[in-house]
Amino acid sequence: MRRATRAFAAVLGLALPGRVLAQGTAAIPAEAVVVTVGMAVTTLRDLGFGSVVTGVSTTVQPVAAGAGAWQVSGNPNAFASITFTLPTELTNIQALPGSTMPIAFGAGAALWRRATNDPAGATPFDPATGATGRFGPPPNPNLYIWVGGTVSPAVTAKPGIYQGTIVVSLSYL
Amino acid sequence: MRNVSKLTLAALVLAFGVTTLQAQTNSANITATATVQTPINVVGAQQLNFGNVFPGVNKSVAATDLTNGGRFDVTGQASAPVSVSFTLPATLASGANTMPIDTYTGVHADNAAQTGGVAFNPVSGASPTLSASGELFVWVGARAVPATNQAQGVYTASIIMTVVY
Repeated sequence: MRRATRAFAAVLGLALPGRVLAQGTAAIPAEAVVVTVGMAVTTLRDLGFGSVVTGVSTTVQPVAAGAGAWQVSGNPNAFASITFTLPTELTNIQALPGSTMPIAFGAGAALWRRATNDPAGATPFDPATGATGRFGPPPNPNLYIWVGGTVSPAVTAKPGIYQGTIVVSLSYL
Repeated sequence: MRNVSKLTLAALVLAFGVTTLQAQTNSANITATATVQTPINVVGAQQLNFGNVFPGVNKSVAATDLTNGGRFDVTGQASAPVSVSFTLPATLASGANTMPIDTYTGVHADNAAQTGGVAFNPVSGASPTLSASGELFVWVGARAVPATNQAQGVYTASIIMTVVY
């Protein structure tokens, strides 16, 4: 009887690894975010280039203190599309009409980040094409956005304050 | 006593002699054959992602949706037929709240681009064949059915796939 048991155990010992190898299993999560809360967009800071020199381009990086910044409050964990309406020039509000300054936005000129109001470590994206962002989890269901840019004043640019409007739009996907 | 012992010894020698003679004249060979197959490895490569859903508005993700469809990657014995089966949740959960998930769809293909993919019903499973390089890719889609008063939250559940030779 003892020998029979040992023999059976030996057979099992050979057979079990074979069964394990003949089968594979894995799991994936299925996930959905139920959205019931609207959004509110707040401008935290304008994009400011400060004083610029004629004939010299000036760039403000999106992580810089002069970058434009918004805070968007919305549904926790929800996904949202982020798009911009970007100006191509700034207008001198102190000079005669027609006095403008080109402004451009590079492929990495915008950033977004969930929950945390710090551009260091945020996700870069091209403001011209937009991105899909995500709101933070409770208790901080916010989405932060930053934008930089480059102005290129002509050598003949007139002195004065040049302004333009950058519009950011968000919608739940 | 001594005679008995001698007799016994003689009998033993005779017996061994006969046995030895039989072993030499009655021999045969058989071939033991075992085919070693590559172990099946299944990886959950991508979650089934519904993204945002709104109360009272059903949302479907197709199995052909390479971005949001759930995907499993299988490797194993080249060109081997396999059986694929699933454990499919009926609801997604967010804490104590639940939301139905139904209308599962599936596609399997021998490439990650889903070229030449074959549709199947995950409820009944499938019997595909691993590619010549031993690969199989399986996508799963489904429909989330939020109630009109569905509570806010992130709802999740696990989809389990099992593959056997």
